[in-house]
Amino acid sequence: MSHDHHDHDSPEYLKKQSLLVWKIGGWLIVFTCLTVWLQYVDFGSHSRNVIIGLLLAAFKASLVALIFMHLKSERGLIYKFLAFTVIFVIGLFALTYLHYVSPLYTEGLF
Amino acid sequence: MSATAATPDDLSHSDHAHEHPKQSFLWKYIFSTDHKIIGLQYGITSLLFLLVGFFLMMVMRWSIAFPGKPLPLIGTIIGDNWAPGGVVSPDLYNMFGAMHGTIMVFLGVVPLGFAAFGNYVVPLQIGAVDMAFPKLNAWSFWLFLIGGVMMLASFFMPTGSAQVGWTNYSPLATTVQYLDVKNIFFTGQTQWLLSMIFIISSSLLGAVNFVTTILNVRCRGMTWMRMPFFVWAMLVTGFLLLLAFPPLEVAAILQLFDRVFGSSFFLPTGLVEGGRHLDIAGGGSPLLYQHLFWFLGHPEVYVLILPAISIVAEIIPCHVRRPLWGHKTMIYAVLVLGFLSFIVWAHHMYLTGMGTVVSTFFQITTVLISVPSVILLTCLMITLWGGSIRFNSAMLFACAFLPMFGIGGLTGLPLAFNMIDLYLHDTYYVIGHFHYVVAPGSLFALFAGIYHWYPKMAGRFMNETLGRIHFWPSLVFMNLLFGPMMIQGMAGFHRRWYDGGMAFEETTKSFLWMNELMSFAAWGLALAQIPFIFNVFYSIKHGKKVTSDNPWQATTMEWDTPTPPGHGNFLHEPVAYRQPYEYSVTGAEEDYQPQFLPDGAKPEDKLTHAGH
Amino acid sequence: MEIPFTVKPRPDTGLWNAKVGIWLFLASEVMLFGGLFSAYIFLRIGADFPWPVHVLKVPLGFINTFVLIFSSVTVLQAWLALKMRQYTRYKIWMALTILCALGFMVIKAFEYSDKIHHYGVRMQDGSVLEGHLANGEYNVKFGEVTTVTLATRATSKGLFNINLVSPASDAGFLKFITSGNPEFKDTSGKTVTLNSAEISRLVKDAEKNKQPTIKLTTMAPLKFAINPSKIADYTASKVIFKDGTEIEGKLEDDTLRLEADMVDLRRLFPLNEDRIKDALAAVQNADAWRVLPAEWKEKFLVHNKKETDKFIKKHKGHNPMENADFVRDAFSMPISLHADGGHAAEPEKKADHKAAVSTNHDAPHAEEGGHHDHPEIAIEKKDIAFYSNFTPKYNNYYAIYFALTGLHGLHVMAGALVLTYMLFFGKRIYKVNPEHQANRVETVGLFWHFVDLVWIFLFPLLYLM
Repeated sequence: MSHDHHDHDSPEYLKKQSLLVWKIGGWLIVFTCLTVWLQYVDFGSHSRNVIIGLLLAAFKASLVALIFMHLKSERGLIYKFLAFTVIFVIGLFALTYLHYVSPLYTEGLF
Repeated sequence: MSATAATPDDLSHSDHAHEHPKQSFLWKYIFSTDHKIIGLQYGITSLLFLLVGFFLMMVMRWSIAFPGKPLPLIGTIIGDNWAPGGVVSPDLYNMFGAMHGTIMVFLGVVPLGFAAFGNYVVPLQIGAVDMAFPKLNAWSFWLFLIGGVMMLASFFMPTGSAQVGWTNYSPLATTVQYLDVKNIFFTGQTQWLLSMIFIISSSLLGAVNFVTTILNVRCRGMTWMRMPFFVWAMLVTGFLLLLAFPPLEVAAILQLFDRVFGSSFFLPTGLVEGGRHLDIAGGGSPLLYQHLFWFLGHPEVYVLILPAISIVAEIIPCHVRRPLWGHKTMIYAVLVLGFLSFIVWAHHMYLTGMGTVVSTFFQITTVLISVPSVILLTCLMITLWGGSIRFNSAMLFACAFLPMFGIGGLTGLPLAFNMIDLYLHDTYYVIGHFHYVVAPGSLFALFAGIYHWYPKMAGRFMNETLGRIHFWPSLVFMNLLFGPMMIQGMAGFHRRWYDGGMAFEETTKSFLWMNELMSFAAWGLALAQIPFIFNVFYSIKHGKKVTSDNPWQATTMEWDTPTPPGHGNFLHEPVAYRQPYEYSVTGAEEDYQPQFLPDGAKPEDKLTHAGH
Repeated sequence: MEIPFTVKPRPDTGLWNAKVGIWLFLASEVMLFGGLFSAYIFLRIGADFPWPVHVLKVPLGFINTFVLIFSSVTVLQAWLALKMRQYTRYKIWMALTILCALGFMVIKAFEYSDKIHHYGVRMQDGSVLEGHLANGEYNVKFGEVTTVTLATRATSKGLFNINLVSPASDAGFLKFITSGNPEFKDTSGKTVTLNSAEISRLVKDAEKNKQPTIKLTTMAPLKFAINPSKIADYTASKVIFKDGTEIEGKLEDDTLRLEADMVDLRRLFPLNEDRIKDALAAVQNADAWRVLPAEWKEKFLVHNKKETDKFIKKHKGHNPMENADFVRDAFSMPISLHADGGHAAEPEKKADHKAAVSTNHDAPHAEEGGHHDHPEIAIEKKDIAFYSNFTPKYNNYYAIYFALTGLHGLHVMAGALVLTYMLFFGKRIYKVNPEHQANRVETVGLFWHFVDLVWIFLFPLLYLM
């Protein structure tokens, strides 16, 4: 918030941004290749591949959110309501998942 | 133009409405982007939908009270297919039951409370010229109307409309009207899903608009804590709609896939329908549907109740001439309420056997959520203490709201405990409980809101005598209608019996007489609405004229506008100078200090814009 | 008065309206896709069938990832060009973005059509054969059809006896006639030639007379080849169409002929089976095993042995049956006559081609090569528990695949539409206030990045894991 709005409009800053965007785009492609490759590496069990794949995807997604969607320099208000959203999404995931943690289901699955 | 830099130039622009005489009726009143017109459109449409839903319920009550007897008058019109010989068939009962719930919740109460009052009042209360996205606002209304019309049109499908309850649980919802239909699209169940997608999209656009408006278009001086409680409640409601509706949209889309593309998201392996194995892959879970549905379903309850309770919170301080007791406490309570409402959903699913861990978790959160609700109600009651109460129609309904909502809330507590819920689940007790919350609760508050803001919308008061003829019978009949449901429910009456329990006469006979009592109460309730409907139309032309822009001597910003407010709302740049509920100010000449007047200025009793 | 903060940010929140709006909208989108991903997890954990892994074409998914990431970069370049007030450059970058969106959708369309033409057949015991339909179609053949009964369904009516759509018979069944003319005698003995106008007239008359059905007798017996998707139910002597029309005749042929490219026998033994020997024994009683040509049975055993040896060499001391990857590789096998077709365990010679074709196959097209590089297997109807093309119907993996990618595709199309609008109708606002146009593009851009972000999760979830 300390930035003056006009800082973000100077040609030098914009040119730097343009370069950064290309760089991040390149890295995203690199990480995509990495994701594909790692899925065919044998880590002993398939669930490890799944976890690694998801971690990489989360990392890539945060690059997109932070840089491309410039959340990195976004205002606090947006963080506030995104935080709630994230909490509820996690709740939705966790509680439908919890559904299976029950004497009826645990046997044979975990 | 930024509102923070008002120039004399702006002021001359303020009464736009009068500079556009060329605007045709169509563009001014039908395809309008003005938040007040859209609010009125929502209001009228949703009141009509409420009437339709009410009509469906009256037919159902006939079937419950007099099973097997031909329904007078309407029975023959309904047609032989659904009412052979004028007798309400079980299918018709199911159809009306499902549509009564859907229409009342999604097309009646939510649009009236959130969209109609929210649209009309919120921008005025925060001193905005309009909503942040006026075009989006109009889109939201039209999507809602398309969804609503599709919902009604589904009655005229060869299969009839949806028939499996407003919750539309799979697998039943997927497999009825499925096997022997010529075209799966033209069945009531599919139409229900399609129109829900329209209604949900409309709600999402509306919610985005509301939250943006409240966050970003507040006038100068309107700090967070100076926002009236109504605006806060709308902010929370907006978030509830925004974040809770998408999972229902997912549920609707997936169920649509199941019906149209034959997938089995919600269909378990080995499902048999009508003696035939269904031609499906199986492997899905009906519980997934319930999780997604109730993830919306519970916040939806608060979408129904928050606008209502916050309308009451606007009316009570004004008509008892005392500040709202615990304005800040109520704000924090409503925020907590909104948060908790997202993590209580599975208390609707205790009976599904989803596991003790999950049940216990939801039991705890459900009990917790009663705390903020009680805080809200308590604050409102304390506000009454020692005030000089004006008992006009608005206030009567607002006062009746408190005990009615109280009964609704307290009867919900036993249902939070899963041991008790196992017994009461799907009985009339549950019906009684949530109808107390929504009918004499929410609806009374919405009526109160109509009586309270009508002078601002129309420039005339509603007739007080008619208001009383509306209020007292409504109060009596509501209680006669929903009170006995609690007793029947505890006696084990199931909520989906189309014959009101006649088939189990041996065990139910000592409670069957209540069916008739409740049905007559329902029809009496319908009669009690006639004075209201008459009043709304009569008072447009013949009500007592207001002599001031602020006829109730209220303190919030909406009373600073001309009556009725023109395009652009305010005649000068609105500024909020103080807290929203400055009644009974010690040392002041008047007993109130409106938010919009600078220190030292005296409130004036005059009309700035009368008579158009 | 105008609505404030449409271009300039509000001082205390630091944001202009549309930015608040789009982020709120994205929050709700997060919940939408969150709900779908949650459904994915729920269905995958609870699946009672082997969850398909690596069944989609990874290169196509990879290209689409590349395309979307690139378009995310270009939309940002377009926005930066606007910020620098270079309108021509903005237009170029914007056009590139839209092209990317179109490219994405074209690739998606190829993937979809590939799935729609690919079939899977689940036998009564759960064993699975996959492949393409011989001649690209599967019809239920009926001969000696002498009577046709049209339905008026006079009793199916909406409320107040109003019907917005007609529930009665339509002329849809006529197009399945393969030989004979649709000339009929009605009950009064008059001759009618059926077409859609005639049928709707008959149905209307019958409805007026409250007749639920119209029975017609053919002048000469007809033959039908009927697409099963139009059939509600059929027996050896009768077909009931979904619109209520019934024909009576004799069932001639409902054998499904599949150019098989995969056999999957994993459902034959229980999930917790821990001995390969038992599993292999179970597999050899399978329905699919029975219809499999003999040499492919041998090849399957060889394939299984090879996979087992490979696993044991790599993971000493582990029980292979506890490894889902091994079970998948060892108990399912691609079938291809081409040397390197699919991932066949060992090279096949072109000469095998003819031998593998099952004997009751009468068409000579197997010689043509090209599409027909898989052995044709005839599967009797009574052996089939369930069959479908790889659409949402086939199993919940494809169902969630189509739901997720379909909804994502709709977002791509919506985004492309708005981007196109910004490209062609942006000049007016740019001239009045360039910053306003930059803000609008930033808003759409945020949406576009979100679409990209969703795909970043979709690609590994659906293609890779």
